[in-house]
Amino acid sequence: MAENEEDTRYARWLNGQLNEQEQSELEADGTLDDLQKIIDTTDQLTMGKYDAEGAFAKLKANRTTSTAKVRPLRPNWAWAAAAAVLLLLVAGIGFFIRSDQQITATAQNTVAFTFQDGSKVLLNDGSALRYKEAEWEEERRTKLTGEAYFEVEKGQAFYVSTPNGMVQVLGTRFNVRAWGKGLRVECYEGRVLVTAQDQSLELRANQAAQLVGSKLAQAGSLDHARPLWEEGTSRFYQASAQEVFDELERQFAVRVRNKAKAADSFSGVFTHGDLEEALQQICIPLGLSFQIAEDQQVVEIN
Amino acid sequence: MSTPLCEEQTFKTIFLTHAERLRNFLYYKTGNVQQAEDLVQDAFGKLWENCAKVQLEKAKSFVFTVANNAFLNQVAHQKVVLKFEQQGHTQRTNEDPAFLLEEAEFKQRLMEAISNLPETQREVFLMNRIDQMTYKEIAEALGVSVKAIEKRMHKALVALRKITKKV
Repeated sequence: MAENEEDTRYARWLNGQLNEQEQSELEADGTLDDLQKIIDTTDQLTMGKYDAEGAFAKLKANRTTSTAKVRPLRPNWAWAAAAAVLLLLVAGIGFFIRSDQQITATAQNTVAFTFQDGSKVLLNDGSALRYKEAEWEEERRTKLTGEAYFEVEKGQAFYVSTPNGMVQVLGTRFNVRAWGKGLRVECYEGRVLVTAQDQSLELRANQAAQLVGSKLAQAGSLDHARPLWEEGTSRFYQASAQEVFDELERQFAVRVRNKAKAADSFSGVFTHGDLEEALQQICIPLGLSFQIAEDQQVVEIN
Repeated sequence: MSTPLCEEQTFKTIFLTHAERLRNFLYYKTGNVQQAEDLVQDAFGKLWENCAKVQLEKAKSFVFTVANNAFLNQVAHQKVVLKFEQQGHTQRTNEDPAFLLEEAEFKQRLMEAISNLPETQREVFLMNRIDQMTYKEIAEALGVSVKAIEKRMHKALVALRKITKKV
């Protein structure tokens, strides 16, 4: 039988909601016997006991002894989702719902995620990726804010759209960097198609593309097979000081007050291990000086 | 404005009503009881912190959403291998051993097939079968429509049905 996205017959059968015709069709070809066997077998399974009273006591103890753990979870999101669902229910539209999943990496925290087809993504600090889980089988579309490294399984086209351009691939490994207005794509294996500002560029293995102003240009060949940030390094090629300091803020969760008027562009790397070391790596070539505040939260550049 | 959720008795009732189902839901996603129970603690901790802002009737979808988000934010998702307890087997002691073996093998294949379902289908299927939640209850918990739940349930059954053909 043809796969139909809207088909819910088996689910309705379980609830006794099939109409006569559906019922007799599924009965005739033995489907219902198969399903009944699945259900009967599943229904013998149970979960291990849960000590709810004990769990509540633990919750209470944790609550009184510790101040809340810091774990930013975008509290408004739950409400937005609830409101959206409510709105749709009110409007009586039952079919299109919040099927977006969002994966978020908070500051100083990269996040790895595997999609249901086995494709993988590693999100750099402070980045987020949205995708439609329900439609993944037909269309692998993701929306990226920030930077991420992808390993895509062969299959349907895989898209990464960013505010600054889009990347389309067919199964490969690549990194997309789309902070601010910039875009840089590094392809480590296979081929990808980058589209931005009405220009397209096809990249083969070990090639990179970068948005320079409004021009999408090939940006040298790569000497690394995985993104550098994965091993704790940020690399720049003719980047503005602002871009570099933005990255520093993300990697170290600090505020940078840039009081210098640095016009020079920065090409080079900084490492993510130590704030002072990173600042030296940035400031020395640019001829700047820096000062880290007592609390390690604010950096002043002169 | 009254904030009933901040009263301990009310909060406890909410906890006792939803915690086990939330824990099971998270187990279906993670395949790890400890991780599931930790996520329950975190989600209800979050609810308590926000008790003044959350309406009583939204508490359930709040904890499911928070826990689901926390799960998605956690590091590398491993392949899930689910284990369940068997409900006391029926008193069919003098059953044909060949039949019993076949039954055990079938159960084994079913377990694997359930573990291999996409997460969203697996959780819906098991919430319905094991936690006996109605489609409506699942839809409310996950913040999606009943129709979406029916689609996932149908797809889950389509996938699981394949194992009956392999004999």
